[in-house]
Amino acid sequence: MRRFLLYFTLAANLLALESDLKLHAKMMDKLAVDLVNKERVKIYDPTYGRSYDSYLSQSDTVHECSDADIAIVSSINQIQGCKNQIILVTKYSLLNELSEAIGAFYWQKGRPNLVFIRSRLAEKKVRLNNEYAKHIDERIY
Amino acid sequence: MKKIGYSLSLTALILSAHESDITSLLAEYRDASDLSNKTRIEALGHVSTYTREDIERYHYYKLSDLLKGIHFVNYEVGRYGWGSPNAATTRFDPTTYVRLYLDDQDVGTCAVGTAMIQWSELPLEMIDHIELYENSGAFALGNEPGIFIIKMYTKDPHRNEGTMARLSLSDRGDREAGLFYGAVGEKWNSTLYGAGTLNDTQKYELNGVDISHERRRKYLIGTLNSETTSINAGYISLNQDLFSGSAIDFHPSSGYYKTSQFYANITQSLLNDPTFLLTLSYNQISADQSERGSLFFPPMARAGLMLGTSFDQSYKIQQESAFLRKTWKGSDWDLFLGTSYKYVSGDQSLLQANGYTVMFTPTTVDLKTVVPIMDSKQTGSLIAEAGYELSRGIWVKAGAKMDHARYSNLYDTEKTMNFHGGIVMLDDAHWTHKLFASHTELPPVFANILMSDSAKQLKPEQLDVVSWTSEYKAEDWRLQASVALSRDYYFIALNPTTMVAENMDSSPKQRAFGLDGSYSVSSESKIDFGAHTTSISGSDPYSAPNGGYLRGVSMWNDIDFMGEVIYRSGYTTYGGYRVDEGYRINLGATFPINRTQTLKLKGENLFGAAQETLLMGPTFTSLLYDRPRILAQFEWSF
Repeated sequence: MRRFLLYFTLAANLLALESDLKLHAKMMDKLAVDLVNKERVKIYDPTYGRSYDSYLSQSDTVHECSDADIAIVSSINQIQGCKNQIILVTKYSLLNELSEAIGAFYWQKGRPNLVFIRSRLAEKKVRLNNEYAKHIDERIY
Repeated sequence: MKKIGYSLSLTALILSAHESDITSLLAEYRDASDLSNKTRIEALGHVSTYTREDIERYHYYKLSDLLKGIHFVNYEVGRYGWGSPNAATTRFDPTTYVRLYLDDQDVGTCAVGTAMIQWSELPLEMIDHIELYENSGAFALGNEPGIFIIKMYTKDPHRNEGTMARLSLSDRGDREAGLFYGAVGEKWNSTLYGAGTLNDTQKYELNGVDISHERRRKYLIGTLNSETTSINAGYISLNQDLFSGSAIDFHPSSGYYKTSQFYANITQSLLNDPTFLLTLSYNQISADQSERGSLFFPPMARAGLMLGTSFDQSYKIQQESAFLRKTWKGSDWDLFLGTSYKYVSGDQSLLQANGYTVMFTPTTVDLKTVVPIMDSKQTGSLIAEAGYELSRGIWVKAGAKMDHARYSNLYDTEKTMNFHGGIVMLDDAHWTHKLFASHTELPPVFANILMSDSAKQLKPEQLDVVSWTSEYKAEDWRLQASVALSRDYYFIALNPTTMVAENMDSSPKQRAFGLDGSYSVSSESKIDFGAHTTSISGSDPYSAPNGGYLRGVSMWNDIDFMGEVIYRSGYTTYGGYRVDEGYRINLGATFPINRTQTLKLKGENLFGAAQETLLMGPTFTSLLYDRPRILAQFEWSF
C-alpha cells in the first residue's frame, strides 16, 4: 500500500524516500558491523533488495542468503538458502517461529524497535557492546 | 504534533558524520521513516501532521480526541450528540467545509455534507498518521471543496503485519474492543479493522432531567493494495439514544437515531503510469430516526403543526462517482489535472410528523408533501492545479475547480467555481512561509434542501479566505505564527421567523491569529503550546473565539507520560446566552507490560472544567458533554 501511495505523491516527496533509504542503510551498516566481526560485512535483505547498497559504507548487500553474513528477513520463506547466517527478523512474532533468529528489528506504536534474545546471541557467539544493553531480553514474549 | 519533516531528518543525517549510538540512530530512523513524509504535501496548505507515535503518546484514542485540542477550531457537539470541528466563533450544522479522506478517498459527504456523524469517533488504532490542512482550498488534496481537510492514512501492513487487539473500559461504563490485522503477500498487501464501541451508558442530567446519549458503533474497514491497484471498503453503523434531539425543552420522551454507511473505492493506475489514476467509488448512507415528545423540527411549522409530538424519518442517500486525474512533474513545475462525475440519489421513504394544529386538533402530516426532497443530482467537475518554482524553494501554486450540477427535480442547473492560489517558501534551513488565498463554493446538501423552501433555490455558500503562516525551526524548537481572514457569503442557516433554511444576507467576517510552538527537551520529552484569538463581525459567536493549549510528553523507565491543558474562552451568543470559559485537563500514561502487551491509562477532563457545549433550539442551554472519565486500555500484538 505504502509503495502504491508513494507513486501517487508528487515527486518532491522522492526526497523523503531517499532519506528513508539512507537511514535504512545507516542502520544496517551499524548492525552489521556490531553483530559481525569482519572488515566488510555482507547483508541479505530481500525486502529492500539491493536498493540501498550505494549508501552503505562498511557493508554490502548480496542477492543470495548463502553469500551473506547477516540476513534481515520478514518471513520464514525468506530464509531459504540461509545456512549459518546471523538472522534478524522484522516482525516480533517471527522470533517464536524462527529459532535461528537472534533478534528483531520491527515497528511498534510508530517507533522502530530493536530487541535481541540473550540465549540466541550466546548460541551464535555474538557479543554486543553496552549501548545495546537495554535492547537485550532474556526471553521471547 | 510533528511538522519537523524530512528536511530536518536530512539535515540531521548530514550533520551526523560521527559514529551514531544505537539509541540516537533509532530516533533518526524513526523520523526519516515517518510515513507522513511520503503523503504530506507541504506546498498545498498549512498542514499539521500527527504521526502514529504522536497518536500513541498523546493518547488520541479517537479522531475527536485530536480535534478537541487544535488551534482555530472548536470541536462542538450538537443536539444529537454528534461532534464536528467548527472554525472558532462559528457553529454550522452540518459543517460542510470540513472534508474527511481515508487513504485519499472521500468517506461520505453525500448526505449531510459532512462525514462526522459516522467518523468523528473513529478509533485511531487502524491509523498510521493524520494530516490536517487548514485554509488552503487545494484541489489536489481531494475532489470535494473544503477549507479544513482531514486526511487519514491506514497503517502500513509492512510495519504492522499480524494482529493487534485492544480492549478499553472506563469508569463511565464505556466498553470498546478493536482488532487490526495486517498481511503482506507477494503481490498484494491488506489490512482489516473491526471494532465495536459502547459509550456514555450513564445518563446526562440537564436542568434536573435525565437525557441519554448511549450509543453503539460498529466498524469494519479493509484495504487491499498492489503496485497498481488500491481497493478500500468499509461499513460503519451507529445506533444511539437521542441526547437532546429535537425536543423543545431538550428532553425528548423517547426515540432513537440509527445510521449506517457502506463505501467502496477502487483506484487503478492507467497505462502503467502511477501518476495517471482512475477511482471508482460507491457510497451509501442510510438513517432511521424516531422521536417522541414536544418537538422542534422546523418543517412541522410549515405543515401547520403548532406543536409536534412525534417525528419519524427514514432515508437512504447513495453516491456513485468516477474521478480521473493525472499529475505531471518537471524540475521546477508541476501540474495536476482531473475530471470527475458524481451521481447522488436520495430515497426518502418516511418523513412523517404528528402533532397539534393551532386549533389543538391532533394531526398526522406526511412532511414529504411540504418539504422539498431531492431525488437526484449529477455533478461534473474539472480540476486544474499547477505549481511553478520561482527560485530555489519558492513556489507559486494556483488551482481552479469548476462544478456543473443538474438536479432531476427542484432546482435549476447549478454552477460553482472554486479558486485558490498561494506562494510558499519551503527550502530555507529555518524559515517556512506560506500565503494562500481561496474562494470556495459549497453547494447545498440533502439536509440543507430538506429544511428549505422549494420555491426558493438555495445558492451555494461562498467562503473567501486569505491565510498566512510563518514558521521558524531550530534544532530542538519551533515557533509558528498564523493569520487567517475569511468572509462567508450566502451562508445557509435557519431563519428564526419563517423556520426555513435560507441563504443569509449578512456576510460575517472572521479574523484569526495564532501562535504555536514546540520544544524538544530530549529525544523522548517534548512540550507543545499554542494560543489563538479570533473575532467575528456580522454575526454573534456560536463557539469560543479564543483558545490555547499546553501539552507535554515524557518517558521514565519506559513508561510514557502525557499531560495537557486545553483552554477555550467564554462567549456570549445570540440573545445574551453566556457560555463560560473552560479548561480541559487530560493526563495519560502508557505502561509496557512486555514487548507485545501494553496498558494505557488516561484521565479525560479530570476536573470537569472543560467548556460546556451549547445546545441550540428555540432557546439555548448548555451542558458538560465530556464528563470526567478514567479510561484503561489493554493492547496486545500477536
